[in-house]
Amino acid sequence: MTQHKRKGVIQRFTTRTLRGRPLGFEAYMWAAQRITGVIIFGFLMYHLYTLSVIFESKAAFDQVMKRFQRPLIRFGELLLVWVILVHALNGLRLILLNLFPGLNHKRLAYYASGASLILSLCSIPVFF
Amino acid sequence: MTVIGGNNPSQDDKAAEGGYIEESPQRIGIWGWLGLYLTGAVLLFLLLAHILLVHYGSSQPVSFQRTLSSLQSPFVRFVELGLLLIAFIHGFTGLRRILLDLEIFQKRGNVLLTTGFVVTGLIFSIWGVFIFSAFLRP
Repeated sequence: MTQHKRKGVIQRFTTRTLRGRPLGFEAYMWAAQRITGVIIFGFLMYHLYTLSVIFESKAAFDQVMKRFQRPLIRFGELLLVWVILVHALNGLRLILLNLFPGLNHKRLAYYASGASLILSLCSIPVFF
Repeated sequence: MTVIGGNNPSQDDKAAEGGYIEESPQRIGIWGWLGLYLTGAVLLFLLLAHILLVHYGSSQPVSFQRTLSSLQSPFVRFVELGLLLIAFIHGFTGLRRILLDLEIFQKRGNVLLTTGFVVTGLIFSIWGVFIFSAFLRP
């Protein structure tokens, strides 16, 4: 007997997207939550590594801080703010949906992604 | 949708029609749920406190001395250490959930995966606390 192997949700999302069959907005938020999560995890490791370097000495601190003034790194920090806001606000949406199942989850998804975009645009003056 | 870490086939149907996919098809368990959602809610506040304390906690410009002196405050220590540990719990639980969503693990694989993440998380937490304690020196 052939046992039909059920594919996981990640495989189904990937094959559907690769075949050009559109998914709903929330499905893309679902994917974005995973992608941004992995990016933030990588940043956390990098951040801890940086901390371990800059607290060695005052000279190391000043050198690293000088490097962080570069425009490209500033732009990367701005992108990071956007990534973190997408993850945070979409996560807040999921918490709210779990607590109050009656909410309009489609509208909430648009609010969360829109608010993350607007808030990260508002943070541009902090970096430049 | 209200199933906590549950197995809800209706979510898969909705995913197939391009709608809402959120609940993990494989059981992530109550600890997997708490490790993601409860810590996520806490992280919202801790991250805000972290950014405000680091960038707006003092009127002086950012310097080595200022950072060291700000870390003498018990509140700052509480926020930073809490952020470190809770972010690790959240991060490793999230990575575990991504791997569980692949649905390539059987029961034993699930246990191994969880154990592996707990051990790795502990090692990284010790590393993080070590870095943290290194800059608490007088």
